[in-house]
Amino acid sequence: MGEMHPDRDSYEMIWDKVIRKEIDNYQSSYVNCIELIPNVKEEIWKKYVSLNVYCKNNYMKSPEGKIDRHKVAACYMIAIAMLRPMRFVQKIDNKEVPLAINEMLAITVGLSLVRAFAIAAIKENDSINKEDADILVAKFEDGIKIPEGNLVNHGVYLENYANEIYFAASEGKISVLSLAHELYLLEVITRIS
Amino acid sequence: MTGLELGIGILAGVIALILVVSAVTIMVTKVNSKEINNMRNVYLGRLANSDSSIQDAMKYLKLTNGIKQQLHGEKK
Repeated sequence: MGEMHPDRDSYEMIWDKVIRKEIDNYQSSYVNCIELIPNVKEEIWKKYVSLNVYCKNNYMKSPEGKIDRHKVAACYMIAIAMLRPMRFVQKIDNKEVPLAINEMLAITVGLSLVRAFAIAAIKENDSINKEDADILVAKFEDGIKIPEGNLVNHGVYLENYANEIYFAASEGKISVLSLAHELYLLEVITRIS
Repeated sequence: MTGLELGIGILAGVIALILVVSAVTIMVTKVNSKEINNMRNVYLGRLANSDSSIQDAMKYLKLTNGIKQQLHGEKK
């Protein structure tokens, strides 16, 4: 009846529906330019599990319990950011283009997960009537809303986010709690949009 | 008054001044310390675990906010 945590069956779905698919998208966008680290699927899972366990042991009241959706998504994001599963092996159009593809992949995985969790939480919430629930769910249909236009002071939001993750991971300062908090705020922006 | 008596007097005065200043400093520090000691320390507790099921959420999982959406504005 109870789920095993961390849940391997769920990871199989996350891998198939999100991670593998998005890696394929990158490889088809940058043909012959990207290779993957060996055993990428298992490496991401192992890293995720170690982050999940670390989070439970160090931050949570009960190490045997579950962590919330934002922390789950953050652990996946950090696993990908630390492993850097995609490597450029060729220049793009003979140019070295600065692209934080691993960090962008991490963001995509994190946001896809937060979206799925948020929809599940809305549908399971008995205190919301069906009509309101449908309106809320519709806000998440195309993904998490990203600040843009006048809300962005400089650059492109996702590129800034990817840079933040890159530098934080490189400096060994990336934090599950901080990333989870950022994901929570992005979910809130989507809910109130 | 001889020079010796003057010197002793000055020395006594300086010592008295030092003692008075020290006493006042100690009193003021102790009063402030008392206030600090009376303040409760705030300890951070650990975070509450979650009830939400990851398996339930997998029904709604799909790829969003990906490179195709960013490059082409493609909606899935």
